[in-house]
Amino acid sequence: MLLSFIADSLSCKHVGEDVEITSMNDLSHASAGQLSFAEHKKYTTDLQNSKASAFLIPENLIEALPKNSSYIVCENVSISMAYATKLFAPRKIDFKAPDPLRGEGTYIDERANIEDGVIIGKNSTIMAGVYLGSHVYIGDNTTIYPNAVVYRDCVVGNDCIIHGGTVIGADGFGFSHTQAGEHIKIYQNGNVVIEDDVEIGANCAIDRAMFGSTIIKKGVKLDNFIHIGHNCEIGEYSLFVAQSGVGGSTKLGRNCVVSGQSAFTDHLNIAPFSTFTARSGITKSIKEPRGVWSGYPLMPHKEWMKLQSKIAKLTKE
Amino acid sequence: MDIKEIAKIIGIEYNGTSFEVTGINTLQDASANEISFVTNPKYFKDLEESKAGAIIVNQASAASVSSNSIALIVDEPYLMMAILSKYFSSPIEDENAPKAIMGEGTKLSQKAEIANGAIIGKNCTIMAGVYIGSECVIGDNTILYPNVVVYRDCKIGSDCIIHANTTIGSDGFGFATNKMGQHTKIYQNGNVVIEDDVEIGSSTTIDRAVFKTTLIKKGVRIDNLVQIGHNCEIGEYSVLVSQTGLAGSSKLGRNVVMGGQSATSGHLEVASFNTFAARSGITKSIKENGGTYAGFPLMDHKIWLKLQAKLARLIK
Repeated sequence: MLLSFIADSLSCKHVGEDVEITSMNDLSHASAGQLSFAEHKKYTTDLQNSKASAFLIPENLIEALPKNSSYIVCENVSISMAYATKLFAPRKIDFKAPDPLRGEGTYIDERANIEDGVIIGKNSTIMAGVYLGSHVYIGDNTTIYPNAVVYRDCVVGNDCIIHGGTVIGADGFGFSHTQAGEHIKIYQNGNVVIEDDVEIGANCAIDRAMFGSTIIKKGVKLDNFIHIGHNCEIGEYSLFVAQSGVGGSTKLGRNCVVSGQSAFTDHLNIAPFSTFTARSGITKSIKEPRGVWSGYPLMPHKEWMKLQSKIAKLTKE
Repeated sequence: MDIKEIAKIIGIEYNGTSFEVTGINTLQDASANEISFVTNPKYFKDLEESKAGAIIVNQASAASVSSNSIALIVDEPYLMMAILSKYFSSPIEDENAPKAIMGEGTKLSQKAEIANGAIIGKNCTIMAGVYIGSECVIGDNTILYPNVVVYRDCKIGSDCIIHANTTIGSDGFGFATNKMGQHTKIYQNGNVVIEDDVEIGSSTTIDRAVFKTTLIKKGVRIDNLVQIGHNCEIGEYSVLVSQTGLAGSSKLGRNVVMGGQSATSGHLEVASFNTFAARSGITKSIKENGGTYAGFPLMDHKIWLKLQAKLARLIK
């Protein structure tokens, strides 16, 4: 759609060439044909390096734009951005997609619902009550247990096991907030990609990305009741025990071990081979690999043991 | 059901006048054709003002029952209420109800199941595997993603989005435990009401009220894997982040924010505009607006930060 159309729907004016826009993305990932946005001066460098074709910006960032940029000036960038994402949201079901394809030896229960545009590889098993949305791709030898749901455009690799009731690709929890305290939906137009040999327990929730993908890498094993926020990346062979959770955009390196009821806040980077004992609360990035951590606030496991013995003594005083 | 029959079920003799009992309710809300009960001494004060037709009480509190109500005196009032609750529960599905009604422009998957008596508004999207129970009412432009389950009698407003595998209106966790330690089910005969413009994530559970309603007000946003107990009330525009839990009968004011994995215990009230950091454990009511809290036991967020600094010094 044309930039002028987007500007009109936001009741704003566009400046510069009326370029064709195909989708939205953040400053650092945007490419030609995409619309991006910046709200604060701290993004000046990202703005200048961005490859986006157009920007939503406040008036005070006009000077920070690369030369000859097309842009829309908004009073409140985060609210305008939220409204703009709605323009790019695909239909919930793509009725124009081709018939679904299934590989040799794949079993699909009659009571599963497979939308058009789905592709399923060989020797996979899709059980009753499963829903696979438009354009979902499922690899070979993958089993999807009853009532699991995969939203449109998501990808599940080969040799995966997805247990009952798990939801892959529901909307990430993203809203812009008005001054009156209302929450405007940011449409989550990305997807989830699950690589090969991943096992996911029952009733897990893995949210789709706002832009780009939420990625669960090869060989990851998730227990039951695990929440993975939008745009997360879980490194190869990482393990998650039941009821743990990861806030949006957090990235874990390979072979992390996350014990029961542990949780990460958003936008963290966790070094590979990190281990977290049960109930760890991780609020800062971890740069050193191979650490063993505990507690909330988080500390090295050895310190946590010391602290617990001191606290035990405190109760005797 | 006649009061005489009720007396028979709970094993007492009743020789007074007959009247038809339509349901069970709390002391405060029961009308003259409903029965109520009391076990917790905290509620003895409500006995006098209750308009209930009859009240199940033990010997100790029988004297406090006003002349408006008949006292049904038993050893274990709570257990008897639980036994009676079964007689007032609705059938799981109502085959005699009229066929479901659907508004113009609503798209219904052939693999969804809509029970008789349900009413769905205009331009809704009801995807595969969804179940909508008897007498449910759904507004306009609402989206139910695959395998969402809405139990009977629940109401969902307009412009709502409910993500996959979320269950609305399953039974609240309520049991009466007898002297042997066995648990008798208290049938949850209330419902859930979700107002307009509410978004609920995937695999979240919102339990139906034991009496009356579990209420989610306008503009609320609920993330994935959240548990909301029976008879809770969530104020307008509140935000509940993933894996949060609310025990029964807790009430949040408007624009309350609960961080991930935070939780409340039951029967408490939280004022408006309060924010709780991740993993907060709320065990007492909060009367002041606009605070920021953390920790378990809960404390002011600034004090929590100080405490953590002191704890860090302990190990040095």
